[in-house]
Amino acid sequence: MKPDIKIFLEDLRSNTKKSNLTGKDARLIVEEFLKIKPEAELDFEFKKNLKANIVLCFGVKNNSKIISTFSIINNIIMNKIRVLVPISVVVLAIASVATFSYFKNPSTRLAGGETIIEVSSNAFGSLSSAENISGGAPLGMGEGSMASDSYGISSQAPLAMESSRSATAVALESVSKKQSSIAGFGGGSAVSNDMDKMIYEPVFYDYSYSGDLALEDEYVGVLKRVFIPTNSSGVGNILKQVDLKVADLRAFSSAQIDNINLREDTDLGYFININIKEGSVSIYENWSKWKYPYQTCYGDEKCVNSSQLTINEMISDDEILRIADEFLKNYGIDKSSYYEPKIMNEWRVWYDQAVSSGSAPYVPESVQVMYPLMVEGEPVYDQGGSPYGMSVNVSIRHKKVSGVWNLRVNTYQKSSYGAVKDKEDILNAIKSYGNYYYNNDSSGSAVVLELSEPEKIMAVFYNYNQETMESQELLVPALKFTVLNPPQEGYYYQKEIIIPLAKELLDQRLGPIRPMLEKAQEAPAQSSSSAAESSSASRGAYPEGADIKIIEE
Amino acid sequence: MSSEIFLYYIFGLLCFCFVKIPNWFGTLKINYAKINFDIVIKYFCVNMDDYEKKAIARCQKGDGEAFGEIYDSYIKKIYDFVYYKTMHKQTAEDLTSDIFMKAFEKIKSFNPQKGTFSSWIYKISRNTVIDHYRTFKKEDSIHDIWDLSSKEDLLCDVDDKISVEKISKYLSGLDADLRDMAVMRLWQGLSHAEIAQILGKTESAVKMSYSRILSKMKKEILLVLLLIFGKSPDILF
Repeated sequence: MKPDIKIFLEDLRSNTKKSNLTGKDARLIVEEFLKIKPEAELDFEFKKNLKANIVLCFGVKNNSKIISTFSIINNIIMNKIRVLVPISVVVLAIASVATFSYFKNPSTRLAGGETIIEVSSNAFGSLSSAENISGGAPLGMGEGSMASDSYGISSQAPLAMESSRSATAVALESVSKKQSSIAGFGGGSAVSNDMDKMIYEPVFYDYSYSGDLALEDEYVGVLKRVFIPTNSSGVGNILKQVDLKVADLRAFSSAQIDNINLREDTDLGYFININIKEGSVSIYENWSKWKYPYQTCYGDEKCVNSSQLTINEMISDDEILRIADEFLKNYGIDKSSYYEPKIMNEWRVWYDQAVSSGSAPYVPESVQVMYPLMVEGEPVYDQGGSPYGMSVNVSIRHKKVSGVWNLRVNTYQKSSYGAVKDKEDILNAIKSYGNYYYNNDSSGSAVVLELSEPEKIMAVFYNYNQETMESQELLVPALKFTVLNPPQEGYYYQKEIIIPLAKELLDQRLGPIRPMLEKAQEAPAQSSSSAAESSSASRGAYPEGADIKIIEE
Repeated sequence: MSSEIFLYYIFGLLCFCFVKIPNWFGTLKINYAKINFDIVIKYFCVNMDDYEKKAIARCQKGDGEAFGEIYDSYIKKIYDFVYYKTMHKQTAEDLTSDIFMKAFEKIKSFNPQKGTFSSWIYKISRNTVIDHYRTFKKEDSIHDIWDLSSKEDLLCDVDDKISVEKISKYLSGLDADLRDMAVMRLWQGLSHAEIAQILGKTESAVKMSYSRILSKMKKEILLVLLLIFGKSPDILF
């Protein structure tokens, strides 16, 4: 007899005077009931993650800076927006339930203020992979004007993160698209012999800083953005009750909701995307309700050209800011975590160049207003030196906000990492900054650029986790140097130099690098094979990073 | 704090030695050891209870780490309880998350003078499971809802479907309190005192109910066994 059965039966005998059960019966029943006890196996990952979230919630709850912005969604949904979801009212109701369920828990509210929870040292593992995935790998390419097609006209950017990529990355992208076959990026062999003709002569920038640097800290606080996941599968179970008669949704036992999309079915209405997994909200145009020439002209080029905006139709910067601010105010979007907004007016450079060269100037349909993120009192920049934060697009034609990106929960964990202590390391990083992938021995010309006194900032890095195949957003203390004498010819975009102050990151940047041209020259040998082979070969030949990303695009 | 836990482990080890080692020498020593063992266990439990109270007090002052310790003590028990009532891993995980989130939100309102933390979190668990089933069903009385009675609601992922059917059959004759009592007592080994606190009953009432549970299960169980073995279970013994 098992000991627990014995206990139960003793228990029964001592506590029941008038039982009609015989000893045998009781034993049989208890034994049988114990035999059918289901095996409840507690998943280790679940246990670990839930504990982490609860401890995180404690940090969130006890932080006075938390500002509930449930009102953001509430306002978006309730404030004059009639959400007419096409399937049925049922789906809308479910979406509302899901939204409510998502936000009713304080741990899942979108927070306007920042929340920082301190964790142990080196808690985010190695930072050495962080730079690889970052969008703004430093490159010193001179012909910045090639980026003119892409940068400064941000109207259709799918994500703020994308739209705020540094000019460097975008310029590199443009170059790469034009030269993909030369570099062996999967374009095949046909053009490989024309490499010398097509590669732009590089300009090498010799960055110089002669001032003092105060590097007194032993450690720097690296922040990792975290989001407390909600019980999205609970919501998923409710959704599974919706029977569209096309499949048995209940058969998907572990389905969770990652995204909720709402559509405002009115003229100049919006799509609202709530990303439950990431803890962010995006607002963008309901394309069918915003009329642009490319839609109304039905492919008639003359019509499109004649309908393009002219410079006279461009509204003033003050008016753009007013429209953006008013939208944020009307929809209860909290600005307390952001610096004063900045209008991204790079389009004017391309416009002026087009006018001076006699080509047709282009006035963008929308202009981006950037609200730079502020964390721990420091401004946040991407690695290209562009402000990083919430972006608001203002439609010039409609004089209305056409999108808001990167509106999100600002909750971070903070962990100490070793700081850069040696001034020489910083100076070496500055010196190599412009020539990160390039060969100094090539025939390009060199330009000396003086740098200003640095400003302490937080820089965004993305650390890729091989196991989960997800990237973590890290904010790393860094120095921002401004170029005092930027070249006047063409469009020089690298006006800021960002040097991380986490030693591990800087060491990686200072590590041995194979010059890009050297590697590019190896690639054509492989380019006679198929495009796919060429692509995979280049993956092997090149370090992971911005250039790899371009191949995939 | 961790040294305190270490000491408890040492106590546990000593207890083991008190029982096992005398076993090698004869009955008298076993009895002697059992007495000592009970004393040690009692001392140990009092201290654990005290330790838990201290952790809760720290937790109520906003110490997240303290909640982590409490979490470690209860996660398996609560998860098991929820799993036994849903028989579905994902649902059990979701509800367990909800339960601990609720406990974390309300921890400041927990009053140790009114009962143990164990009974408090079990009460939250029971109510959370009831709320979960309420979203699927709209019965007039929540006591009519039996977690496993409706096959259409049963997102069961227990491999042994026969066992599930048996569980459903055996427990279906019991009301909600008796079902929970059976699960908590027989599957989870909770004491009568704990069950009494969770269900808001007296300890003696719980003890009395225990025989009623078995009596009510008797009919179904004996019937099933009769079908399996083809003869009266009495003959089996």
